[in-house]
Amino acid sequence: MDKIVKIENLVKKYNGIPAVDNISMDIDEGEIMGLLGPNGAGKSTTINIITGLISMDKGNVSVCNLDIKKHGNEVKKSIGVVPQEIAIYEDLTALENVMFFASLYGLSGKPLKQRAEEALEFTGLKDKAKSLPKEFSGGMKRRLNIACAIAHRPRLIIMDEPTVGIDPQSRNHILQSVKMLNEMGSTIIYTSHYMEEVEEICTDIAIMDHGKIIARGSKEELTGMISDTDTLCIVPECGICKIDVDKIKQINGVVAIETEDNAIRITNTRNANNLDRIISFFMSNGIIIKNLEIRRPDLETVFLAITGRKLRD
Amino acid sequence: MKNILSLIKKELIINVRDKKGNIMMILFPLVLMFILGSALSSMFSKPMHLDNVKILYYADQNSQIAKAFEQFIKQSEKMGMVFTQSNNIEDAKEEIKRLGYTCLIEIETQEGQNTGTIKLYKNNRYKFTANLVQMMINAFAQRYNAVNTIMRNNPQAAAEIINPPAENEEMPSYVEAVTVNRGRQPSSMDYYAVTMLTMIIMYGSITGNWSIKSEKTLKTGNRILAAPVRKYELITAKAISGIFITLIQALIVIMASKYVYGAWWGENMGAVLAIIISQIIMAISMGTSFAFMFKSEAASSGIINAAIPVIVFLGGGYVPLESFGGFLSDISYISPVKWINQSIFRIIYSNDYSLVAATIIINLSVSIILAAAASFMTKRNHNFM
Repeated sequence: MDKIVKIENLVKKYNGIPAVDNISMDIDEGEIMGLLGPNGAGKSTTINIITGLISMDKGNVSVCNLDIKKHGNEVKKSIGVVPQEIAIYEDLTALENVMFFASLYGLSGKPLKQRAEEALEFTGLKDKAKSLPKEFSGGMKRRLNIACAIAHRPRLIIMDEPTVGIDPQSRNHILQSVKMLNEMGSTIIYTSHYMEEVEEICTDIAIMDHGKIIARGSKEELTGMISDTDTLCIVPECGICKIDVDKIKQINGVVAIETEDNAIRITNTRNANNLDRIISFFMSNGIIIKNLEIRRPDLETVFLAITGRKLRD
Repeated sequence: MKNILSLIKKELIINVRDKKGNIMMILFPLVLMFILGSALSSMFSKPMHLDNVKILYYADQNSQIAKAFEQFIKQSEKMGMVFTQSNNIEDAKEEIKRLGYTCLIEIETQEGQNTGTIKLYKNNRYKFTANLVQMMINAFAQRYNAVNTIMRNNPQAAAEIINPPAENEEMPSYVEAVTVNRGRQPSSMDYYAVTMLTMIIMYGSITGNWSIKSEKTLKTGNRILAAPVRKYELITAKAISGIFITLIQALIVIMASKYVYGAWWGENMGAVLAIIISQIIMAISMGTSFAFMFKSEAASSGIINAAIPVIVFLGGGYVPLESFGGFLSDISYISPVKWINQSIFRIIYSNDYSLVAATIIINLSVSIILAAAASFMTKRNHNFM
């Protein structure tokens, strides 16, 4: 697959302190690339360099096979940026906002208005085209923020924490929009410190900390780095006293069993596919399962395992 | 070019919809004109007294320019001015101070030439009337230069102009041109129409400042620069739209002052507008340059808001400082508004264009210097985020 973004040995320092510390990364076209990390990890600095807003100290970055140092303006035509903070004009209508930003990418005349209207329709703001953003809710402003970035149909869309501070319904709408944009052909770089979002939509994930990429891969690959087991947590109705845990241990794939309070924690080899046999054991012994939960390692766990800190510290 | 036009269009839409800003820039000066023009009308209602204005002069009586100056003296004496001739320039320089003359006029001529130099020595005690005499001398000099040109081309025609008429003959009408038009003197409304306009144009620098700072506040600046837009396109669009909007506001203020308050703007609006436009360019340059020089919006707008009242006061925006004379009148020349107001008043009331070029050059030079300073101080990575 073609590499839409190539980053080689990228370095950026502020007052001698590296914000981006010699990272190298390629992004395949058609991916939704998640850039995950705590505040100050270097995510925003990296994407600011890709978009040409700040210069790099060392390294090479190319987008669509064009070096951003030599062909900055050409590169920018292929990129749409959804900034972390809402960046719209309160005194322009929604349609005027989208048309203005799209015009900076070379659109004009009828195609400009048409694409702007399509962008508003895509983000669910078609009936608010002639309204001023000062009348919008936070979620609607976020959607307008996205519409302003996609009207010119960029090959690469960079979304910097696009769901900060909005309600769950708007958040879900945005996440679904991201998937749809990807299906329509755009490559997405999605930065966030919410691992749930990254887990849900990203096909490829890079975890950053202190300016470095500390882990890279799909969600399964990353969680597999620290553990190849899942934990099954079962709460039987009758309590745990009547359960012969040794017999559960004999089921293929079960690695370990712990009991705590009224719950049984079964550590299971991932992909053992023995859930039916475990449930069958309880049923055949007349034990009613009050609650059953499968806990898999998440990216938070991965980050904690690698750095010793939580993502949201 | 397309980007610049898109950016200008966006700026114009936002500015037109900015009700508060437009009220401030249009209504505020009109209200102040009314208040100051009404409250301080007594300062301007006194007729211009030139009685007993004593002037000492020294001239080579054989020169053509001295003959022309004789006619100027005759006209000025009709207004009550008293002219005394001195035969020795060094003595005359002593006498101006000792004997209380308003000023000394020295006319130097080159041998065999019709041209000469007019030197004016002003007595600081009579600054206001001395300035008036200076305006009259400037008008005379302009007229004399025109006559001199006619003489080179058609000496016969010029001879009729410079030879004084006989006792019983009427003074030819061309002589009227060298005197101050006493039929029109600035009323308080006329005065404040000009000074409140030039004041509010200085406040246009806030428009320029906010235009840049707002892109940082709204976080839209980086969004624009992430698009294929060059920094110079953004700044050019900001400057052009700021100048255009401020010019429209200024024209509205002029029209309102002229047709609602009846303020007099003279007979050469073109020259007045040339000065106004140069002032607008300076004001917008000041605002945009400060926006780049100072990181915080509070600092840049604070400096502008502190500086403008001082600049306007020194420019005679609130009261004519010539009335006070002395130190205040002298330091007023550091204010560009002083030059602007003075050159506009000279155009309107004396058809005197001697300060126009200098004023425009000063305004544009200040603009260039500020823009260069801002460019030098701005760091390479100007990140609006």
